[in-house]
Amino acid sequence: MIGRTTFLWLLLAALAGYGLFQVKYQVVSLEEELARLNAATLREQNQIHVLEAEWSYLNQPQRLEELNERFVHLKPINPVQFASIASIPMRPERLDIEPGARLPGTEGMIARMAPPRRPALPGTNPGQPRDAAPAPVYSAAAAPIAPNAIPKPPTISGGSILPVSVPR
Amino acid sequence: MSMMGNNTPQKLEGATKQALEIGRTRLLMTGAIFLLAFTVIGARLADITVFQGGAEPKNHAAANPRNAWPTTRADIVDRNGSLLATSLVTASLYANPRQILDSRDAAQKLITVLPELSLAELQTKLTGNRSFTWIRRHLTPKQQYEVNRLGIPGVYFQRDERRVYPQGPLAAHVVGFTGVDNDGLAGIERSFDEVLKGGGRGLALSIDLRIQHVLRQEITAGMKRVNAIGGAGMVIDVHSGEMLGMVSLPDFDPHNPTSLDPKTLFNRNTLGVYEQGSMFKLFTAALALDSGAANMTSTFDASKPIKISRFTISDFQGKGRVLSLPEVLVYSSNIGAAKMALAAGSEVQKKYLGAFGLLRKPTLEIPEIGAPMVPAQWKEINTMTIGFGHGLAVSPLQMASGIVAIANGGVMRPITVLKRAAGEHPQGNRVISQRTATDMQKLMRLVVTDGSGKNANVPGYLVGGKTGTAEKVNEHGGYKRRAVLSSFVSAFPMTNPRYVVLVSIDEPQPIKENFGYITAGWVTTPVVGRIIPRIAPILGVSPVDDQAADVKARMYVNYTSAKGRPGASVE
Repeated sequence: MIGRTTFLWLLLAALAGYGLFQVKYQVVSLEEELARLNAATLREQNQIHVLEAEWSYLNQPQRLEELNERFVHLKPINPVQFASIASIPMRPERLDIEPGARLPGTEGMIARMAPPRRPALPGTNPGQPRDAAPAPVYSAAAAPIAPNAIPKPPTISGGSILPVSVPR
Repeated sequence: MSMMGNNTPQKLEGATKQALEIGRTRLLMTGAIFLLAFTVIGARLADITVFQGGAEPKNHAAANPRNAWPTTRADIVDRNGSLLATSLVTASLYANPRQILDSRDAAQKLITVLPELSLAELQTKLTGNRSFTWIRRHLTPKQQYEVNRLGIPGVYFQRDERRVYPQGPLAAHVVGFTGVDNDGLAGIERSFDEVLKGGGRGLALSIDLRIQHVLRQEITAGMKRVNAIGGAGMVIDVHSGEMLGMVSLPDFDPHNPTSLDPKTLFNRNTLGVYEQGSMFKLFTAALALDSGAANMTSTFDASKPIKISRFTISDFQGKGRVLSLPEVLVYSSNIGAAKMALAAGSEVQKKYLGAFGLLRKPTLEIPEIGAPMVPAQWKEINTMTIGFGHGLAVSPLQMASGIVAIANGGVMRPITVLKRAAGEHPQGNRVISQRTATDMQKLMRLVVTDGSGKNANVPGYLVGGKTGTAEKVNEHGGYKRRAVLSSFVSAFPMTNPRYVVLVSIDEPQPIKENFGYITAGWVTTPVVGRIIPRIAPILGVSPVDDQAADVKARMYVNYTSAKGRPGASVE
C-alpha cells in the first residue's frame, strides 16, 4: 500500500514537472515573439515616419503647382464662379414658350454671376427658404417643355462649386 | 550535585527558582516577539498576494507607439497637420582602420555607393593605426543598405538623428532651425526647444502652408517685377489672432541656414522696425474719431504746406484745398493727417498708440522680436509727423496687429503663431468703440474703391486698406532718396472683416509699367490684389456682389462734402 501511495506522488510530481516545463517553454517562445513583434512595430513606425516626411516633401505647394501646370491645368476659383443656392431660380412648373427658345430668367446666370437675391452678409441668413424666391409665373397653359429644350449651363470641371458661369 | 538530584519545582528555592523564572519570562517574551513578527509578515504576505493585485508580475509589454517614438525631438506641423519639421533616424558610417584588411579595395567599393567622396582621401582615411574615423554622416536608407551589402569588414554604422524640413524655406522664419546637436537656434525651434525635446507627437502652428505658399509666391513675383531687395507679408485671422501666413524675403534653407547671406535670416515682419508711412493715418483717423476730436464730416485745410521750425510738411500730389476726413485718407494727405493728429493732441495720440500696442515691444512666440523706436520727446512736431507715419518706427507685426483691432470691431487681441482650438477667441482689450471701428472699415474700403488702393480692388471680396510709402532712413539718420518701403495693409471682406493682409516691398525700383512710380499704390497693391482672390476660397470667404445695393449702403461714406467748402476747418 505504501508503494502505491509513493507511486502516486511520484506520478503527480512528474506530471507537475512536465507541466511546468511546458509552460516555461511556452513563455519563452511567447517572449521571443513579443520581442520580434516589438522590433517590427518600431521598424514599421520608423518607416512610417520617413514616409510621412517624404509625403510632406512631395506635397510642397510649389511642386503641386508645377504638377498641376503640367498635367491638370486647374486654375484658382474666380469670384464669378461662385453662386449661392438661393440665387438659382426655381424651375417653373408650366411654360408658355416655344420648344428650343431661351428660358426666361436664365440670361443672367450665363452672362454674369447671378447676384444673390440677398447676398450672404453677416447678420442675414444666407440660406433663406426657397419659397422666399418668387417663382416665375407663366399664365397660359401649355404642354410641359421637352427636357432637351432647356439650355444647359456650360459645365466646368472640378470642385463642389455650382457651374453657373463660364470662367472669364 | 546533591542539589541537582532533587529537582522537583516545588522544592526549588532561592537563586535557582529565580533564574528559572527569568528564563521562562524571557522565553515567553521571545515567543511573543516572534509571533508578532510572523503575524506582520503573514499579514503583509496576504496583503501583497491577495489584496494588492496578486497576479503574475508583468515583465513584458507591447511596444507603445508614444513611448517608443524613434526620435527624440518632436515634429512641428502646420494648422492642417502637414509636416514642417521632423527628425529622422539616420545612420552615420564610420570605420575602424585597424580592422580594414585592404584599404584600397575598401575605398574603391565604398566609392561605388558614395560617389561624392574622393577616392584618395578615403583611402588615406582608411589606412593608418587609428581605431575610429567618420566616413560619412547621415546616410540615406538606400545608401545604408548598399554599404551593408558590400560587406566590408571594419566598417560600421552609428545611429544618428537629423532634423529635416520637408517644406524647405517655405516657413523658415517661423519654424526656425536647429544646430548640429539638434538644439533650436531660431524661430519656434528655439523658443519651444524644451517642449520639442520633451518628445510627444508635435507642435501645431497657426500657419496654413497653402496661404504661406501663395504669400511667398506672389510677394516674390511682386519683388521681381520692381527689382526690390526684399519683401514681407502676413495674413492674420482678426478674431482668433492666429497668424495664417508669415513670409519674409529673401529667405533661407533651414537645412543649411548659415551658408548663405546672413541677411536672409532676418525676419522683416517681427525683427525689422520701420517707419510705416501713410498706413499710420488709419491710426490717426481712428484716434481722432474715437476721442471725439473729429467726426466723419470734419474738415482739414490742406491747401498749403505746414512749416514748423526747419521742417516742411507737404503732400505728395496734393489737392491744395480743404479736405474732409475721408478725403485725407483717400488722397493720403500728410498735411491733413498732421492737422488731425494735432486736433487730437499729443496725450490722446500717445494713449491710443500705446493701446494699439505700437509703443512697446510686442509679444509673439518666436524669439526674433524687435522693439519699436519711440521718440524720446513727444513734441508737437512729433505728433504731426507720427500722424502720417514718420518719426515712430514699428515692426510690420505691430502695424498689422493694430489693424487687426480696427478690423475686428475695436478689440486688441494677442497675435499667435500657434494653432488655437476652433472658435477659441482670446480675451482682448477694447481700444476703440465698435462705432469707430465700423467707420474705419468704411474708410478703408473707400481708400480701395476711390483712393490709392484701387489696384487691390478685386471683385467679390470687398477689400479695404491703406497704402504706405515710407522713405527709408540712411546710415546718417537722414532719409534716402528714392529708397522706400512700399506697404499695403488690408482687410477683407470689409462688411465684416475676417482677415488682415499686410504686404511690404522693400526698395522697389521705378519701372516703365508703373510710369516710374515706386509708391505702394503701384508696387504693393497689385500684389495684394493677386493674393486675396487666391487665399479667400481657401479661407472659406464667399464672394459677394460689390455692386449690390445693401453692400453699397453699408459701405457708404459721404466724403466729398468738403469740396470747395472750407467749413469747420481745423486751424
